[in-house]
Amino acid sequence: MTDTYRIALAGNPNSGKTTVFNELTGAKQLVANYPGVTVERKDGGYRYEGAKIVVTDLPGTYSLTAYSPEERIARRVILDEKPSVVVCIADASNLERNLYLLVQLMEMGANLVLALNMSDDAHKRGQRLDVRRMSELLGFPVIETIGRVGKGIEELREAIHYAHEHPVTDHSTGSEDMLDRFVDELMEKLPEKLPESAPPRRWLALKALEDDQEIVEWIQRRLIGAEDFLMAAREVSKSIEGLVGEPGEVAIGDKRYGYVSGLIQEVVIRRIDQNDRTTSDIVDRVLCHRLLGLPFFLASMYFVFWLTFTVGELPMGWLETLFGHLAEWIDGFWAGSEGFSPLRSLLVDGIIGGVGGVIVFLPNIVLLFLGIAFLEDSGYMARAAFLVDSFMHKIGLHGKSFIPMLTGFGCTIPGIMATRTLESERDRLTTILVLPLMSCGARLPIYMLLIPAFFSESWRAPVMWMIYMIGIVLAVVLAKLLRSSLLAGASTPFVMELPPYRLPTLKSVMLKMWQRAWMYLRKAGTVILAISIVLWALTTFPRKDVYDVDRLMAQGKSIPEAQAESMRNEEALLHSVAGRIGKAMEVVISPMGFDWRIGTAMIGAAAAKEVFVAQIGIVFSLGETDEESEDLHSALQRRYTPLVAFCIMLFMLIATPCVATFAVTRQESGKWKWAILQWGGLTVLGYFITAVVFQVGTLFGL
Amino acid sequence: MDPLWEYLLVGAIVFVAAVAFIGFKIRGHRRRKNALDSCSGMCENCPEHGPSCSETKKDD
Repeated sequence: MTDTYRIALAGNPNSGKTTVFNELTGAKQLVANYPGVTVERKDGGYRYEGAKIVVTDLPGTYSLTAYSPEERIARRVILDEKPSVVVCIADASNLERNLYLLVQLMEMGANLVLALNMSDDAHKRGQRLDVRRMSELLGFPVIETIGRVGKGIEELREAIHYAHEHPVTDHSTGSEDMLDRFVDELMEKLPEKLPESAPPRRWLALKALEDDQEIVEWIQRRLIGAEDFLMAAREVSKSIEGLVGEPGEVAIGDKRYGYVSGLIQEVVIRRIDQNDRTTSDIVDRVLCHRLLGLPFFLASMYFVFWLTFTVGELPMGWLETLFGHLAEWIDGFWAGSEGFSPLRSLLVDGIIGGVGGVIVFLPNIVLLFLGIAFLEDSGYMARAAFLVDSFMHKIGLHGKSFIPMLTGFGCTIPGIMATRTLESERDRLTTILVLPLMSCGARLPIYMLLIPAFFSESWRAPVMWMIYMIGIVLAVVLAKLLRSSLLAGASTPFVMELPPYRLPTLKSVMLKMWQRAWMYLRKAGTVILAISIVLWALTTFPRKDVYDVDRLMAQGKSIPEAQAESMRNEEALLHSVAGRIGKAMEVVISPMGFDWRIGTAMIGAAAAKEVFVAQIGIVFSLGETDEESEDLHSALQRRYTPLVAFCIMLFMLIATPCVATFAVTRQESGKWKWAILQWGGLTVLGYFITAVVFQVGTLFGL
Repeated sequence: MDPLWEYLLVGAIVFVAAVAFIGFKIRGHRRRKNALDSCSGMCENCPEHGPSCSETKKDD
């Protein structure tokens, strides 16, 4: 029978756990060079010498207390599921902090393997370790790995299998001292027989001394004589405080650090020279500079947008040509036939005009996320959060809120989910409410359609940069308003961690690009396709039997045929359901400079923002005749001004967050009122700002 | 193709698309709800992005 066992990967945030997970399992989990990518657990697997190994990637934690969701998840997996082997992934150049977690895993009685990851970084900084000696002292395998390039992974697999076959769960975490005697004394007070699912006795005693609330509750629920035991724990903690002048929790922490220091002393042949500045430190002197830092961040974002336009133009042109040929080919089946063909119109105007119009922006999406993935994986995005940290404090939030906001550039939904890492409920709600202002990937096709159509090449990147910046600035201003009104209160203290700079791996960057592209294509092939067909029907039916233009011509008015055909199409559009809705909306949207066509395009955009582009594609492909067929850009240019285009982008950025955002905000905030406030508030704000911009712009003759 | 058949075919396609759209929305909502119930934070793997948290939950 095949041997199947489960292992878990534990480690500090940003120690490269997910990279090792991917290397071990061949999986494709996302990695980013900022702490907190793995908050929920992820499972994968591989085979080794005939055995099937199930791997769980735990969230990154510094310790195993019950303060944060990450710690609770990691701890529950280790205690409840009892993985056969726990691999502790430690950043080799930050041994002290990383080994603190190892000691806690040893206390939990886990069967361990230690992976000293990113050992190349540590080597470069001059550190030399006696790994063999370390393994002897710890009593379990220690392997040096470089997850990024897959080095040491085979040895790690071998060590895991060895540990599975030769388990060691009784670890010594230092010499017996007064504290150990207190812990031993407390262990004696535990009932002789513990439930089968109980954690190790020593760990229970330690956690009771630390007054770990989750364990205290477990003891109260599951142990006979729980109150006596907890009383004893409080007394022992008091005795420790009386003797060492510190509460039990602090004394235990000190002892762990003491053990780690001693271990490092034993195994480090050469230390990292603390005075020797690392490359990261030198780069940070410029990139995190008080004055230069922010302009550099803005410039790097500008560069990404520039790249999106210039490099994306060529493949975008290919896709446009491809869809053009496809439309011509389909048209060919109806060559010579007279009158309106609903099937031809559905295929050419509805599906190719709608879905094709969205797919042509795929190269731009891929390029934008290539840039963002590079910034994330290099460690620069964490600096961006650090740069805005002091600023965020001023508005009542902290840099940690900026990470979910950055995630919001991809999609608002995971951004809202990411706010779960924020401890303060007020911080969380504020961040959730302003998150839709971070321009998500779904809005990108709208910008990609309108910016090249209305702005010269030299203005394209600056306009797009401006749109994104307007979103960020508005988010900050709104957050400040919320924190000083509805959600007033002090901000929570938090220290930002700065990971070292790393050269992003091709695999990770490609993976992010692929996932983004796949998500886009999947959405185009499902939701966008379905809604394009429905919107096509709404834009095509009911059909008009007699056109006013024909009546005029019958009365003898001379109108050139091309112009007459164009007028017929316009009449048909206005007669359709979507046209009527758009016309009815015109009264409300005209102060923003929008006509009924834009109104019809906004109907579907409530479901998903990309639909705006699909619907504009449908409206204009239905509205144009063969004789004067022109591309969408020219058709738009003919009807609208750059000011209107800018106003559309502004309104789409600020107003009407999509249905999914509304649902997730309701669920995450727990109340309808926050979801309604977010949707309604942003829509009113978007309307007001856009109307002001349009009216002022018109006054200035723009 | 006979115009009547063409209209019937197009009508059927539009009907299927409308039902599919509602279906996609309901499925998306359910997946998000499952994901929100089971995951707890920086969730790059939400149903909008890749292997969903609900899939992780299935393995538990």
